[in-house]
Amino acid sequence: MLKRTIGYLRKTRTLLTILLIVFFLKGVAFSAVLPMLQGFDEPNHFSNIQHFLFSRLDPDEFGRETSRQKTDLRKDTQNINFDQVRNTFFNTPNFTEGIKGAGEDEMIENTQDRNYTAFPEKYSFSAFARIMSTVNWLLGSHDLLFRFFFLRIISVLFGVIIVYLAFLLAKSAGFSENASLLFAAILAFQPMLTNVTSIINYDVMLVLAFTLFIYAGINLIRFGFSRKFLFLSILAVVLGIFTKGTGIILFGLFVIVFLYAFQKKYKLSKIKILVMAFSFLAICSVLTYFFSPFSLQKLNLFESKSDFKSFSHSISSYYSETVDSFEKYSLTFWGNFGWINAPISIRLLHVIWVLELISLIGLLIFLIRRNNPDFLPSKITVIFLMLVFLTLECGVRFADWRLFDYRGHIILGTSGRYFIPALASQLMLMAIGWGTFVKKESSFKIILKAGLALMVLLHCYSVLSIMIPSYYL
Amino acid sequence: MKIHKSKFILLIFFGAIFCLILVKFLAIISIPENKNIVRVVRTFPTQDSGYDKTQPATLYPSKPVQQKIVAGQNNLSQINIAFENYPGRLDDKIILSIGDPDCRPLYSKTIGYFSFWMDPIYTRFRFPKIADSKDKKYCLQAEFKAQGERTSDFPRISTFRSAEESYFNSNDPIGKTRNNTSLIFKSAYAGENLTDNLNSLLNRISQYKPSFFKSAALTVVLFLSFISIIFLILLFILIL
Repeated sequence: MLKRTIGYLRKTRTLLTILLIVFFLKGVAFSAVLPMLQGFDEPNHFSNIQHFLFSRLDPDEFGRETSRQKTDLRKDTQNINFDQVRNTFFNTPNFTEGIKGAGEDEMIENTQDRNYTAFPEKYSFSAFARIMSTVNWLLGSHDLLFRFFFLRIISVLFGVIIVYLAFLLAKSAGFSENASLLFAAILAFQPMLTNVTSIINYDVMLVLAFTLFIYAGINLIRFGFSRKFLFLSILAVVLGIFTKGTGIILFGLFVIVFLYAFQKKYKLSKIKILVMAFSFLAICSVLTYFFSPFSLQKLNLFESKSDFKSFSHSISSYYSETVDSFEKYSLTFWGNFGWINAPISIRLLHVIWVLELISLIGLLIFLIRRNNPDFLPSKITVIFLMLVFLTLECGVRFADWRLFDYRGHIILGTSGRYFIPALASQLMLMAIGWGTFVKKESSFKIILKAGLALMVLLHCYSVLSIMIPSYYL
Repeated sequence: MKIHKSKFILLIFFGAIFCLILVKFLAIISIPENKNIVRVVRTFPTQDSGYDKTQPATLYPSKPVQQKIVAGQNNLSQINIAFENYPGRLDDKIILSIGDPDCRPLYSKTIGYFSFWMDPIYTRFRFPKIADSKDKKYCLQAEFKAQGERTSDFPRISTFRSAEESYFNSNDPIGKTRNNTSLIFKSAYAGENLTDNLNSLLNRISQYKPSFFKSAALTVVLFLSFISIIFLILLFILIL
């Protein structure tokens, strides 16, 4: 009996299902513990979703946010002490003795069946806003608390897809099934990913788009041109672009991957490739003109206007403004939850840096060495992963600098969560870097298991010792 | 099933750190007082705007900062203090004390750069519970100890405007007693037992949550998540 159970548990499909269930439960618990509206930009996103009800569209109100919406949201946030808590480090809400908050009844009464008819133009093609607002509309008869936390659970479901894709991605990259499972589990417990996938914020869709793209991209690069993965990569690009400005990075990466895979299969002349590339860009420009994703409209800020006397002055000012913030933003990548700024310990971050540094050394050895262990992915896969990781790094920092240059002060910042979309790339590169130091796959699996144990501990630490005490004690 | 040595070591390592986190968490659990909540005014929830900030209390070497506090309940067991820029240097130390109304220490704790576990947001000063603390006056004191002469990098405690409170800083050049200003701290009380503290925490987490995240349902969600994580790690380490 025990042998049969163990045999059943050894099956990849069983283990993957267990992992996805555990991720879901963990995400639901996280979304239950994080106070309402305390996720990053959560009030904005929730507010948009609330009045994003296309079934009752009033043409006169198209594209405008109603003042009623703002008034209502302000009332709700007052009822939950949101204003007292956000960005104050030390505050917790004003709790009562029982299980019902002070303004809870009033809030429920006022928000029963609260619907808005305006349709925010900027989210017309956003899959995240469409799906979430549809769920919100379906739950119209429930009160605001019910709808809000149910929507958070929908975010967790997006997270489940991300973890599943991470497993497929690792397998496609060349990891064994067991190593792929371990890799997906490590990713599943990264604290900021847990945070992003447990709140109402379109970042979850961006992470999904990036992970899907990496999965499709690896397959196109490794196994050549295929309709399935071409479709998936295009889907990822469209999802990303219509979700957030950062998605444009996927388009650039797509062009590179597409040309590589196409050339690998058809071996065209350079002239033909150039003609193809220009035609492709022309088609995309026309499509962009007609569909005009809101996320790309912000790009008009990238004009030549600058708040600085010269380019070098702008760069040096940006450098001096941001040079000391690396630690702060790194903290927000590994664990800083919500608006109250509940970060993990700096000392823990330093340990993570050491682990990253060792993996970077390993990665360099991997790139230089001729014969690498066969349980690790090929060099071209590693180069692709590095390309995704570095493009996002550069893209976010470029956008931050460009806005700084335009306005004269930091507007966006480089918060760690902006880099979460390339998490799968980053963690895989780390795993490969560490894997370079061993010769046998069994040793590599021990490394991955140790990585999993550390990530689960980081998750437990961040929830039990950081998040719960910061918000409730 | 034979357990490989490396798997065994990994499990021991995981179990030990996990227990440590759990013990730390259970030690933090208390029933905090709803006091010293700094009011912030905003025109729209997502807009940034600070509260009316007051000058922090600077801790000069061997010159204690004191504030008289009245316990709201029995079993006073913890005071959480909002330090700014601390710890500054490797050999810095701060002695935190809870004392009688004349500031004679009842319990003290020294914290330094190499504290075993540094809380990222505020410093938790825990001491044996004072059973009959309700409505009694105590003196909260923080004293900075530094090696050698010091002209910069002083630790500071955040403060806020509070009509009925004041604190005393013997070396403050502006004035020793700061009226209408309070150090930012939060008193916390121990329940009769751990279950009391856990129930109090679950009640707090239940507030402003829908029925499926309240009370018993919340307990089930948290318990399932906790158990499933342990199950997963055991499974992945042992079977894969």
